[in-house]
Amino acid sequence: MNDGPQIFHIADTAHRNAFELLPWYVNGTLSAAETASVAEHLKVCLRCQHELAQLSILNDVIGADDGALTLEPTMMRAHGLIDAYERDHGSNQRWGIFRSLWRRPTRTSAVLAMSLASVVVVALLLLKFDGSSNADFTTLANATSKSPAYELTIIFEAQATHESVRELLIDIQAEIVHGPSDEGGLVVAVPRSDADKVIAFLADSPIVSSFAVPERIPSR
Amino acid sequence: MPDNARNSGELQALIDDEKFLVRCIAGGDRAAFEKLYRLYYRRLVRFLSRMLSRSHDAEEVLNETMLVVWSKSGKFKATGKVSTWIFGIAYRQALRSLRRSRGIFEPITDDTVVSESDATERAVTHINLSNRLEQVMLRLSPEQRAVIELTYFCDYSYSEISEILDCPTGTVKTRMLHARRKLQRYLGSDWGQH
Repeated sequence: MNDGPQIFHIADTAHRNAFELLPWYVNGTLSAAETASVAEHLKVCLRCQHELAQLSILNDVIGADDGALTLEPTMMRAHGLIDAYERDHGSNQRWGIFRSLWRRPTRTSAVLAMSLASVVVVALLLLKFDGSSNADFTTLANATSKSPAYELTIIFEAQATHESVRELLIDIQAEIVHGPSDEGGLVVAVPRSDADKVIAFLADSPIVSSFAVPERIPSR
Repeated sequence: MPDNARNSGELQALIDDEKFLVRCIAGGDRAAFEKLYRLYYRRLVRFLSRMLSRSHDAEEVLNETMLVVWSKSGKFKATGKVSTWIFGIAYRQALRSLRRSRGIFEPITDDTVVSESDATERAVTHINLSNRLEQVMLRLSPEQRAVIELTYFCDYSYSEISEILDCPTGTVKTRMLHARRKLQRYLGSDWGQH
């Protein structure tokens, strides 16, 4: 039985594996198990021994240093490229920070927060204008008049209740601008187009003691 | 087998240092960029010179590579190696450059070589193996050149090369086998007698 070097056929699996791995056996990057396997095969394979000799020469030749290189001027050109890149893309990058913050989780949270805020605002508005609320004259007086046309000062009878005053104001579509005064008067705003009807309504109302018509309201 | 023993502690420190540099570059740190540039300049110029065959092109593509490093550093995955990431970028930039100059640096095919053995014999006498290798490397495809260069000059493992070239390890081994066959054919006896 011959235990010395032999020539293996390429179809031999162990030979093919070792033959393939020889370049990395030469540069020393194989795993320990692969290195041991290749080394073992090299002991008995003439073809791989010859190949190893050639690849070692190649490793020495290719691995040799090329000598002096011109790093500094090349790196200066690289800085120039980056400067140009930053000029072209700098603004996009700055906005990119905001874009990156506006990712899906943030976006979803923001949409949910805005939806919740909208619901709260609507609820508050409904509460504010709800007829069954406990709003008194002061509260009503603080309400902002949307489109006042004429302002009237109304003095109510002593027996006028909170509820009856409210019904009257709703009937004449008045918005309280100021009041109530010490005499129980309210300054209210009424639509310009309804001024005559409002004056007639107030004149007939049992809870109205008197009312003052400003100069700009057409006299009857 | 050459002495390629590496101190694992030093190597890990280097890898960590490079990752730190990339993080700094992502924050726009030019000093960190310069440091990384100096670390990779020689290896990249050499690799790209082999890939492109002209040093002028190599330096141009090197800067294109480092510009990509600058602009994409924020996307670098900390689990990977900085060197394989940068060489992967350099490889793709080199292929792009070769496509731009298609026809000028296409590998010389067997059909275009007239009496290769005669040419080899004429050249062997006066040109040493190193210079001859420069010419023969041009006969390899860019992919084969990359595998040879990354193995012998950059000392990468085949799995690292597969990562750089973005291909399976089997493809790396096959490209190396084809490259070795071509080198043997074109270098001929010059290789064995060196």
